[in-house]
Amino acid sequence: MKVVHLILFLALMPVACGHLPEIRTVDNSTAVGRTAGCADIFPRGQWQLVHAIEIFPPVGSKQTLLGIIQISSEQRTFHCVLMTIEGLVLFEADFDGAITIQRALPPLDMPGMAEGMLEDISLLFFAPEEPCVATGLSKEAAWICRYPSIDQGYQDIILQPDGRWEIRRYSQSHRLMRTIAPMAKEDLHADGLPSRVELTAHGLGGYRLRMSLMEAASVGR
Amino acid sequence: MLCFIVATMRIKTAKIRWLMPALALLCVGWADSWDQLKTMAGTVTSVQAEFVQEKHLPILAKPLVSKGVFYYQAPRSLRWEYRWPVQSILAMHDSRVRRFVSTGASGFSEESGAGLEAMQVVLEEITQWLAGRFDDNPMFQAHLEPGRCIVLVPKDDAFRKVIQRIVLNLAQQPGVMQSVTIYESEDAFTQMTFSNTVLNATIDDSLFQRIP
Repeated sequence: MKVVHLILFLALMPVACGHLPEIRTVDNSTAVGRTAGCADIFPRGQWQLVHAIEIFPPVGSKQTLLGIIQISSEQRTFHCVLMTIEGLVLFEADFDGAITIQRALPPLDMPGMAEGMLEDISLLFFAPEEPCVATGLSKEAAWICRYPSIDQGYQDIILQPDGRWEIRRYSQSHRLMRTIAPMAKEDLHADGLPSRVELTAHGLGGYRLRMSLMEAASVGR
Repeated sequence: MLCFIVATMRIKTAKIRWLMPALALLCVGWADSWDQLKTMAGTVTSVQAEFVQEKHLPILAKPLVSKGVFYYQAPRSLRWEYRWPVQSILAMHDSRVRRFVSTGASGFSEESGAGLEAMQVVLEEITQWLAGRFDDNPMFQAHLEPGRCIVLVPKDDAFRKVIQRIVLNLAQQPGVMQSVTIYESEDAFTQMTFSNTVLNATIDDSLFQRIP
C-alpha cells in the first residue's frame, strides 16, 4: 500500500508543484534593451561545434560521447552527429523543419529518441521562435524573458545579476522540464561561447548532459 | 689514408654482402600470403605504438583529430589509450573490455553504455590482427592485396551498414601495422596512423588491469 502511495505521490507531484516564477515588471525603456540581451546568449550565424558530452542517464553509469553539430541560427536548421570517443558514429540526423535520420544505432534508434534530441538541441542553440510575452525581475533580482512555445508551454531565459544565464523550459502545466546553464561564468571559449554547459532533464526518467566545447568554428555560407 | 679507404670499402662490401639476404627478405615481403603473415606475427609477443586518429565526416571541414598510445600483449591483452583531446582508456584483459574516461580533476571513472559492445568486437579483432590472424574472423571476407594491404569486408548486410569495410596497411617491418582505416561509408571513415612502434618489449600486466 505504501508503494502505491509513493507511486501516486511521485506521479502527481510534478503536476501539483508546477508553477511559473513570478515576474515583476519594470518600466518599458529598461525592458527593451535587457530583453534583447536574452536572445544574445545563443550563437548567431552558422557554426560548427564539437562537444565532449557526458551523459548521466537516470539508471546506470555515465557515458561520454562526442557531438558534432552544424547549425544555422537564421534558417533554424542543423546537422548533428553523435559518436563514441573511438569514432563510431551512433547517430546522425538533419533538421530543416523536419528531422531526417541518416544513422541511428541501438539504443539511439528507440522511438522518441530523435525527437527528444531535436528538442534538446533546439533549446541549447536556437533563440525562441515566438516573441517575448513577459519580461521583468524575479524575486532574486534576475532578469527574466518569457517566451511561449508551440506546445503551449513556456521558455524562460534568466539573466543573473552576476552575468550568468539560465534557460528553463516549462510544460503546458507549468512543470519544469529542462534547465540549461553554463557551469561557470568565467569559463568562456575563445569565440565567446560557454566552454561548459549543463542540461538537466527533470522528472521521472530525467537525465543530465554536461557538454564541454572542444572546437568552435564559424562556417561561411 | 689510402689503406684506410680501402679497408673501409672492404668492410662496407662485407656488410652489404651480409645485408643482402636480409634486404632480399624485406623485398620479398612478409605479407604475400596469409601463412607468411601468421608466421611473422607469431614472433611478436608485444607491441606498443603511438597513434593519430582522424575522423573524416562530410559535416567536418577538417577531420577531428585524436592522439594516443596502445599496448598489446599476446595473446589477448590490449590497452587503447586516448590522451588528447579527451582522455579515455579502453582496456581488454581476459576477454573483458572496460572503458575509463577522465573526468578532470577527479581522475578516471568507468563507463559503459552505447558503443562499448561494438568496441569489444573491434578490440578483439585488433588482437587477432596483431597476432597475424587477419582471415580468421568468419564475420569478414578478407582480401590480401598488393602493397601489404588487407581489406576486410563484413559478410553480413546489417553489419555492413555499420562498417562498410576495413583497410589495413602493413608497414615494411614485419609485424608492424602502418595504418587502419574503418569505413562507415565512402566519405565517413576513421583513420588511425601508427608511429614509434616498439615490438617485443616487456609490458607489465598491470597496464591492462589497473587504470590510473
